[in-house]
Amino acid sequence: MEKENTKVSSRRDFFKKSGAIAGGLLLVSMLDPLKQIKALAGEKPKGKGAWYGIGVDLEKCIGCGSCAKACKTENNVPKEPFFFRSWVEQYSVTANGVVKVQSPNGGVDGFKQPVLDKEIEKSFFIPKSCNHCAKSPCEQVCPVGATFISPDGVVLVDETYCIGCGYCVQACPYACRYLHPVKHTADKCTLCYHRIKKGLAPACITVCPTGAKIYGDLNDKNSDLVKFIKEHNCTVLKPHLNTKPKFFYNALKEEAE
Amino acid sequence: MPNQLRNLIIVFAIFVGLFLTARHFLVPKTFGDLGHYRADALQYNIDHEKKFVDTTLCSNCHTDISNSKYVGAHKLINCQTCHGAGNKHIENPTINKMEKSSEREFCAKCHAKNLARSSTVIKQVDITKHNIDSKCVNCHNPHSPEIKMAQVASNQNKKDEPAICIMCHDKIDKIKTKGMHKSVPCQSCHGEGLNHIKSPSKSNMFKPSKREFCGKCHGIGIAPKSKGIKQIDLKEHNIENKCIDCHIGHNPLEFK
Repeated sequence: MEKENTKVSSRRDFFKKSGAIAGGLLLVSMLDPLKQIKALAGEKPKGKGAWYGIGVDLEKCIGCGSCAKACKTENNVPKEPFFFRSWVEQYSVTANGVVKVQSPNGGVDGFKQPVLDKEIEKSFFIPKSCNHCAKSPCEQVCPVGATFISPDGVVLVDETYCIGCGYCVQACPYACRYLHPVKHTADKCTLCYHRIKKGLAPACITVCPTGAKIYGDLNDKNSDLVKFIKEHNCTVLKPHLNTKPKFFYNALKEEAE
Repeated sequence: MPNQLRNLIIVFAIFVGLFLTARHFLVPKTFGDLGHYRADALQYNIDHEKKFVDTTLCSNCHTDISNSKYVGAHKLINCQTCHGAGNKHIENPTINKMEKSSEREFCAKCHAKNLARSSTVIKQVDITKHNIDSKCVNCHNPHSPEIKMAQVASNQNKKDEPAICIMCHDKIDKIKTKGMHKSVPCQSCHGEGLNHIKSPSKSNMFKPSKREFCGKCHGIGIAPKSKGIKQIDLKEHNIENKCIDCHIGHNPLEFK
């Protein structure tokens, strides 16, 4: 009997140990060391919020460059002709299949046809900016988590956290990013997040004279963008890269894809 | 419990404790709340100052302009597309003026002929040919491009009034008023031009170039001698050339 008694813990010991374990668990749960791991695993807030995208009707685009100019003003983008959040390109295809692409100062000052009219088979403008990819490569390569996809699907940069390594600039297949020459951080189109969250259209869409560019909530069946995608034969740029871009072009020609 | 194991556990616990403490101070507060980023960065992006304003603010003061704009082809265009962002102007309209451009190149950004532009979407002109002497705004009201042209057409009864011609051809008028032809009405040489006023691009004015045309006024034996008009013998005076090869028609004593 005595032998058996030594093996069984006393009631006091039992309370001590279970108290320590419970306290320890409580402490660990307050610190939540798994928070980052959970986030990495893609745990996202529940609920159906907005999921923003952009659309452009290339048949309506006249290449005036108002969008590129307005974007520079609205977002304090440096005026030099190689920093752009939003810009316009002109494609000119000659009869023998040569494709010429030009974007003088991003289209801010307008365009002049580089090829003689008689040599052109087709010519068109393409306004470009961040595609706000659902699987954005720029977000994936950011080593510090300064680039992220907002809960409403907008790819944003945390300027205060960015270390300016430039990985994202290299990773973006659409060349939408640049390193800000003064701030030394990555900069890109935010879909004018400060405007859309206040119910205003992004600057480029506000000033578009022909209404070629629109934005909207892809989760909202009645939004302009969803209607636009339904009614037009829309494609995205470089779909084979599987970045799931949310910038939809109507009447995109094969030379540009 | 053996001593070795107990020491190992203590060292391990200290290491974990140090790691958690360091992590607590190094990782930003809201990092990981919504994903692998600082949740505060969302608000940081939202707090950016906006510059393009609601255009109802424009029509509050510029009612007449917005009224004329809403009937023309530019009715759907935001004021700030041409005039730039309005944030500073609404803060202090007297000091901070809006952008304003009357240069041909400015209108050409949208309206210059370009094969990439759809003709059904936008009216285009060849700015290297279309009335190159004048600014667009002389003939077109920029807020409602048709209106000024319509006004010209409705004034067509007063066809002798050169003001109608000057509206578009002001540069020519400046040349003309310097020279001997200043009192000659445009219509005397170019014809009445009623169709040209209605549709300037489709119906061009008559442009005289023959020696005989100038001879009607200046030829000896053809024109009446009075009025102090210079008389020339067309059979002798530089017969191989046209008059306008040497003389500028609008100011004939200036030579090319």
